[in-house]
Amino acid sequence: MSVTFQVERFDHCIEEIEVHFDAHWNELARDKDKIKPKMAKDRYREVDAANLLHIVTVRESESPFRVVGYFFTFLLPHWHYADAGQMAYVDMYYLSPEYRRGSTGVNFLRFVENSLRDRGIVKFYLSTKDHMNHGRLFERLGYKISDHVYTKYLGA
Amino acid sequence: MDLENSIVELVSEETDKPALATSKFEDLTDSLEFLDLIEKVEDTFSVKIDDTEFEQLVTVADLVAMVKAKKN
Repeated sequence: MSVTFQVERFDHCIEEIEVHFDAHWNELARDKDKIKPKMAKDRYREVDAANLLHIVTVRESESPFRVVGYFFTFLLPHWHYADAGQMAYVDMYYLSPEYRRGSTGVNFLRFVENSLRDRGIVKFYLSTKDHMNHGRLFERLGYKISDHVYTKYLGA
Repeated sequence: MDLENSIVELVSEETDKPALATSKFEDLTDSLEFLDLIEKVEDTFSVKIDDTEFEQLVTVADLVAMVKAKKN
């Protein structure tokens, strides 16, 4: 089934997005035994109200237009480059496995990028999980690798 | 072998699936395999397919038409 991409506000889509969180977390999270997911919805609402959150959804193109993917980015000026303009930082993204077919992944990311450009974003900081790496896809779309991110659980 | 047969054969080889001109890429590849396939086509037929053109590639026949247009 084909899909559509669109920009949506948090409260318009969050209930439909939430149904994917278990699958998303199970597929991608590390330290699952120590850190459990719980979305801070009020914080997301605050940043969305301040126009600092950008959400792109992937919906089936036929009724009931079910959400099958999403891409969240935060929009912020960079603290080191205060005059450089607004930049986008990836928060999370997901596409249901059955829709990771053909050119859908490329078209999804291209839509996200174009919609950020339409909002005046000058630079997009995008990362991928080391254990589920989409780097080749990003590089095909012109992204250059700039950082390696390391994590370590410091809790008790 | 003409261009259409060459591309259909290449798609079948790269995806390990019997492809026809009418076959849809979403039935043949995942996203990364699709990139591999496009890059193989670019190398084999000395054409450049921009990512902005990917949306036009629904079936193998679309790819054949695109490569033909770029070769002419």
